[in-house]
Amino acid sequence: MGQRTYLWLLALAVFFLVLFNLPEQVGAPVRSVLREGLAPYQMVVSRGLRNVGTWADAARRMRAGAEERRMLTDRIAFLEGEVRRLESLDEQNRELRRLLGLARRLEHSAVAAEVIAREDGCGWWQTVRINKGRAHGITEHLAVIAAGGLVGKTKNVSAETSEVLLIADRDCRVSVRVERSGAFGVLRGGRAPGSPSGPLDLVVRMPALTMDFLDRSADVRVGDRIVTSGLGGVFPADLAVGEIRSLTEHPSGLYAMAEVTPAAALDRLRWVLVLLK
Amino acid sequence: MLLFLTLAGGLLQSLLPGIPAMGMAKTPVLLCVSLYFAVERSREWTVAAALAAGLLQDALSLLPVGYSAFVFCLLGLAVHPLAGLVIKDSPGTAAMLCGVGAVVGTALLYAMLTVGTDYVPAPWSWVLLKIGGTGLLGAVAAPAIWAFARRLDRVLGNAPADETHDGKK
Repeated sequence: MGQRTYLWLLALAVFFLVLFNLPEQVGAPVRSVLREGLAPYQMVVSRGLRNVGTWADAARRMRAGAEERRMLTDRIAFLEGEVRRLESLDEQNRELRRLLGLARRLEHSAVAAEVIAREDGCGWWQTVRINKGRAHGITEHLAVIAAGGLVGKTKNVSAETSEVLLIADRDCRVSVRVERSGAFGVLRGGRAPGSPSGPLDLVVRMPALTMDFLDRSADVRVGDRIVTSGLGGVFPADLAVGEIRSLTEHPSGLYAMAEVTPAAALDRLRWVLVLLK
Repeated sequence: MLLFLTLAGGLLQSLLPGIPAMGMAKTPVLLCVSLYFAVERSREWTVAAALAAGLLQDALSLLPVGYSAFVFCLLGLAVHPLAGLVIKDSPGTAAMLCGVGAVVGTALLYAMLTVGTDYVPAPWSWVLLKIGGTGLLGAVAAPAIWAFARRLDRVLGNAPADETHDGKK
């Protein structure tokens, strides 16, 4: 290698040393600019994909129709497409009404946001990206809920978008309690996203949630509702989190664990509410 | 060309879903774009493409800024000297370089995540599944991505049109 190559490599090494040690105030704008640039396209494509099924179906029906009935088939396909579109709007309307009702019951002010992308850019975390950010009053570590219940918390907020770390991710911990008996525990993403712990898990998309550190003598039953405890400062108290699906003892014998079914449909999120502090 | 391919690659990568049976592995479109420049362009372009694609990948995920850029740079600089030794427009070359690159890159990123951040370490079975899955997806997607990039190069006049291996038009 020549002297020029060494200089090149040295310059690159220095560049990365500086980049890795950038303070968050400097690194965040870089991230922000890049993400904001893609957000409008993601929103357009995300909305377009929702209609692909409808249009594909309509196209199939159009091809299948006999030539002499082509006009009629076209008309039916169009009307069926319209019906599906209206059903989709109706469903969206109901979801937004549920969110609105929920927002009115809460003591916090909230910002409604649309999910514009699912999953982290390289699959290490379980996140969704929403179309609201700092410009709408959102900061990091705010609770995010959907009509069913708790969804996660905000992370990496830029001016117009935010990443939401889902409660199903291993990195997300939530202090929770059993609504009926008041027994406390800590909720965490049950397994690494999509990790196989049995043959069926290979086709199961959403991993189970686990409630850890339950007192072994606590009064807890399968089917009990789990809500946030309000401890920890991120999630307000009494937000619905899920329901206990099964109970086991930790291998150490020190505490019990419960598998929890999430209250919110984490794999079908379209609209969410961010609770402002 | 670099800007367009990087943005389109970033959009595609963020839209393609992770595959649960492969540890939520995602198709490494941005890595394929970065390695295309490593094979087809100068060392300066290799670094520029790695930085652009890497920084965009970092921005689209919760990775600390610079992690993917660093990994893409290492892979790009490792692949660049091989450019003269391989058949550049063969789908096999694209599949092999991007497949191996994705495996090495994913493993390196995981190592950096566990050492440099408070990322909760994942079970080994899941990590191995994700590394293998990303490699497989990279090998499958790379020929198409490189073919598209090469066609774009020809349309823009950056490469001679339809040249065969022995140089005859």
